[in-house]
Amino acid sequence: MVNLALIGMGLVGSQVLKIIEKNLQKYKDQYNIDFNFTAIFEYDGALISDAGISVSEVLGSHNFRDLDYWKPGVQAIEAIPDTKADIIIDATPVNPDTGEPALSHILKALKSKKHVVTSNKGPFYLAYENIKEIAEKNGVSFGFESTVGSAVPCLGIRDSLAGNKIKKIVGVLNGTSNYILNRMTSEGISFNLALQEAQENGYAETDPTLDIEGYDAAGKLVILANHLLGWNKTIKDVKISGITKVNEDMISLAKKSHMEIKHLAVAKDGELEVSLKLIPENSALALGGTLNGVYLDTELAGEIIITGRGAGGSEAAAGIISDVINISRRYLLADT
Amino acid sequence: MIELEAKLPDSPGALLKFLKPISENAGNIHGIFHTHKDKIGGMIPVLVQFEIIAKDKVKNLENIKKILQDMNIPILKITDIQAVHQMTVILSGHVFRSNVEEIIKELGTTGAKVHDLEAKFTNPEDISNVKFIVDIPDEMEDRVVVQKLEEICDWKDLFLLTEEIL
Repeated sequence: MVNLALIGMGLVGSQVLKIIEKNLQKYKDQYNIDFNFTAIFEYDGALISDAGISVSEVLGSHNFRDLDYWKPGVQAIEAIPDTKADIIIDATPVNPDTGEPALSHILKALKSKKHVVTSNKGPFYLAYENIKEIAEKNGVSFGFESTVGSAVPCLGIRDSLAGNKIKKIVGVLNGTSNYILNRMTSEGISFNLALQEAQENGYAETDPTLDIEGYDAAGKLVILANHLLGWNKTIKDVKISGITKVNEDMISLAKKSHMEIKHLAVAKDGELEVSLKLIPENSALALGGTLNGVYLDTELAGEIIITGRGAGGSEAAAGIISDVINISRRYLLADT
Repeated sequence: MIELEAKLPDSPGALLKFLKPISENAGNIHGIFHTHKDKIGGMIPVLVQFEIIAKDKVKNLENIKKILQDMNIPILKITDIQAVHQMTVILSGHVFRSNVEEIIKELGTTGAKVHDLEAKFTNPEDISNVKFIVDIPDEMEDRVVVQKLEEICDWKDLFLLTEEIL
């Protein structure tokens, strides 16, 4: 039995619950893992049961706060050490400048000798080395695959490249920016119209600053550089510029030279930069729609490119679940 | 890389005879342009690009010139051209008000040259977008050119878009 605790039942957290609940038997058959939720935390309390919470009851209820499991006022940061959970899944909404509350949850969980899985980038572009150190000191692990590219294995690829050296990383890491630039390129529309369209279609937030000014891509770039290249950087080390200066004429001039304008995140020669760049229209990173992609220049295997859908509730949940399964298999199966 | 322009009679074997002294003097031919449609007075212009693979390139080139002159082949022009690669950049802002000529000259101080230029604007006083195709000598690193462009754009308050080479 692998006991899980979830912090945050928003878009991603609820998808994690739904997917795990739906596939309990499959995980048992395929991986010999029995998952059991012993705690589900919200901002104003928690559902707690050491014997296990009926996720179907929670998901099916009109108001889960009416269920017997509900303990009002219980805060995750206090309850983590005492929870029966082996793995804490943090899916809380996070302050991008501080990484909180996820950073505190992660550190508390690791210090309490619990494994951690999260889709929150903030803790990792602010305090990656500290998290690593505390995890190692306490003999536990953490998974953060969905922080970059959701279910696209941008971080997991490191293990597959053992013995190889990555010399350079170039990424299209933000789906909102990619969508806007693609619409401007394909339709010749203005930036403002493309942004409006993105917001109407749910590809951009009401306040799209983090996406279109490059901060989201910058955070992901730091995570990639630290994890894949072994650097020790934070978001303060990234030279960041957004996409708001792009206009239809620039796009048109680029097209005439068979080029496209992309918002690229680049790690090379010790430097990190997120900025608009020109690439050939037949480049592997000339990705359509909201797709994300990561290009790796490796010493032994040349160029490797991974692409896929980089955002979305079920996509992020898929990344979380793969981390949960991998940690379970590596560290917990013998105990179950 | 050398570019040699000459005129040849429009007769069988003329081109082969012309190329022989070049190859016999260690000339590695990269391209030949032999345009029959430009024939005037029975003579056809030809342009050949070649590289001399020898220790004494100057001596070999002098040999080639002498032999062609002895063969009564008029040499119109010989140019020593540098091997270059190209980079596309786009500048955006008040590019024309910033003095495009000055920008091109300043960029030229690196050894790179603007080979082609295309602009889009409604009115030169407004924001304009200018694309340069820049020829960069093969032995020069791209970042030298990019750094110079960044300096120029800081100075002139222009937005710069450069290529990312994968």
